[in-house]
Amino acid sequence: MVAEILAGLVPGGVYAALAVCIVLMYQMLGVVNLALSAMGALAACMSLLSVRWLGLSPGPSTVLAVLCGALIGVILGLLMVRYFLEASVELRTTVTIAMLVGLIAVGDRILNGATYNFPNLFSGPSVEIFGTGVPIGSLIEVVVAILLAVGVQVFLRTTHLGAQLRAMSERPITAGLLGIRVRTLTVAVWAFAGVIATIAVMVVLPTSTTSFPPLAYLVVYALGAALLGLMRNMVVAAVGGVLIGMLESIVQPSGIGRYTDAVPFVVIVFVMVWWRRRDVWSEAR
Amino acid sequence: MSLFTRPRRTIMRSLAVTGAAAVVLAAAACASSSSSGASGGSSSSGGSNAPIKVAQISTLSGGYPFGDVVPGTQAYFKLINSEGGVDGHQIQFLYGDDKGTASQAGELARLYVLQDHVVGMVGNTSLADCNTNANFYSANSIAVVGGAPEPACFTQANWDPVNAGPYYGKVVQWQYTFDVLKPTHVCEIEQNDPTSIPYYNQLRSWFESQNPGVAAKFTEITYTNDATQNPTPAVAHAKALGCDLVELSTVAPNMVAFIKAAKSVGLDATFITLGSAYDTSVPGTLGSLGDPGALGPNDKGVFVGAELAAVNSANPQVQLMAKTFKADGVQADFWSEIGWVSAATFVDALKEGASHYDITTAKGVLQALQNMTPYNSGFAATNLDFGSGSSHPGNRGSQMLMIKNGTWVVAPGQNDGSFETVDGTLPAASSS
Repeated sequence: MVAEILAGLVPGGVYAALAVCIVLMYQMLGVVNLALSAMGALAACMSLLSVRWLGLSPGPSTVLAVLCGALIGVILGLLMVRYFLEASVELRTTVTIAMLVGLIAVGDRILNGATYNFPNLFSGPSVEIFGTGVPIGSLIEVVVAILLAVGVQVFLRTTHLGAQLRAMSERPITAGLLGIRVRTLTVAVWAFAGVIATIAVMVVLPTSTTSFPPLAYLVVYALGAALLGLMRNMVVAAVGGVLIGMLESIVQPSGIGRYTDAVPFVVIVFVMVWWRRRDVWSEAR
Repeated sequence: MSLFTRPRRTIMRSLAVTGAAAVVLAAAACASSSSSGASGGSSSSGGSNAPIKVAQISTLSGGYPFGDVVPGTQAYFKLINSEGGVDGHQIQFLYGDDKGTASQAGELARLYVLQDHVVGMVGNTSLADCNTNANFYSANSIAVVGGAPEPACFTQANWDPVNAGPYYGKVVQWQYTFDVLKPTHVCEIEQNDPTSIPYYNQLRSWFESQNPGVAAKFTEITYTNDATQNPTPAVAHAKALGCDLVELSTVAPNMVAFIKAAKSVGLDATFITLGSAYDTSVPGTLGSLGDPGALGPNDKGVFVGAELAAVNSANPQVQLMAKTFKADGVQADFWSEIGWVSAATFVDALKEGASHYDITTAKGVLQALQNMTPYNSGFAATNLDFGSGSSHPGNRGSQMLMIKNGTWVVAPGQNDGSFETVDGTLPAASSS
């Protein structure tokens, strides 16, 4: 059991990092970004292409991929501020579904069923814990995801820019009238999310399947984690991501392993029911 | 000025939105590659007689893509057409991606047979076709020669597999595992495929009854959606159980992921996989990790049971394929081999039957196949014979290959051109 729990740190780290970004974007921009992991996966593909076409070594190709992640974020962010700045949360979220479909279409053309050697961000030896090797990259990712969650929350509460971002999320039009650069900040948050998603996906890529759709759908697990934080608390979301990874890891080799895909849905349904329990009881009374 | 500016901006904005939508939709359409190319992909170059129109339905996208079947088939038909075709008829080849879904497989079959009037299906390698279209093919006298990943492909009168399939392949894998590799603890990680799990379990029980002492060595059987999940938990579990050999039934990208994950968790074991993972790019992708001993002293190497001959075999028919693939830029792997061998078997039957049957009709093609002389493809353990029976055991063997010094070589206990075969036929799937 210990081995399986520790193995859960690998997917858990990815879910945690993605969950922090989901909450950040929901809180700051009013959008549930369903295209988040697809953004990171497509940018990660660029590292593969840069190795193949430009002959870059792992370091520069990784930097290029992260820059691509930022660029993809900027492009999608510009589309959002240009056409959907004042749209409802529902509409913006629906737009990210279109983005997801588009990104999968492009990514599926790049990863077409062959085997690939993705640059490994942390190719060093695994850390031995209770007799099980845990990839050093996954350990770092888990720690960084939690620090990121804490850092972003502190940043939003204590800095001037953080205050501007909060103002923008609460009253975007008023914030704009007060001189806050709403469009620039929106695009910046999208770019930041692109960078984080790229790094998150690249950490797990060397030991995961290289088919594009499963990488794009990592966001489903991260959504479960974000809901654990009630789409508000990034630290809980990050910890939730790690826990979902561990839960998935325990279920996968067990007798009910064939239902592992259901793990995020179970978590999402449970949280939704728990979250709205008072409303239901109030309604009933 | 402003009167003109606003409408112009509006127009520009509308154009931008439309353009963006078009880009997304076009990209999405490209993703379903083969469906858009379904009626467009053609290998015909004209001829005095009417072309023989054939089609292929394969799973080309999703978690288990068999994408190289199409270029493998195309390469053979291109070669035949350049030599004048079959009895003066050029072969026209259409193909489509069913994405592993029954609805798409059913739709494509009806499109090709009822609208495009194809006379046969060649190279079909799909997760859905055999289960979905059995009655339709039978009702329309459509013969299929292709790659079989599902039990239903082996039990239809009109469907002839050229590969051993996962079941004969699995038994050969077990035979080689216990006869040559002799592990003490085997962890078997199977696909979470409801259509194949019951028969796998039935076969394992049958194999255990035939080979006393083997049952105790199967330490764990795990089912996983390896294409959608991270393989790390499964290999960590195998390590915790002390397994020194891991058996997989998966495609090459997933096998590579499992072996890399094994390295990351410190699993010291031999890996053996079905022929579905045979891909010439694997040794290069794994690098030194593919060599025996890379994972530890228990690691005897990375093995696959190639259901068709190794692409570097000295057999002249395999050499012709390798040369043609190189000229056409086709990746040589198990899937492109299936396309090539399916097309070769189909064409061989048509050439033989051309003087007896009307090979421009579906019925004539079916008759030609049913009455063909068993075809020695040079790729398979047994001669390929469509025949008139109600089922087709297909090719009943595999050649065990392993990675050594950055390439696939014939594994110990085998010779180039020799295959590990199953004696007789496997037990029929029980109705339960």
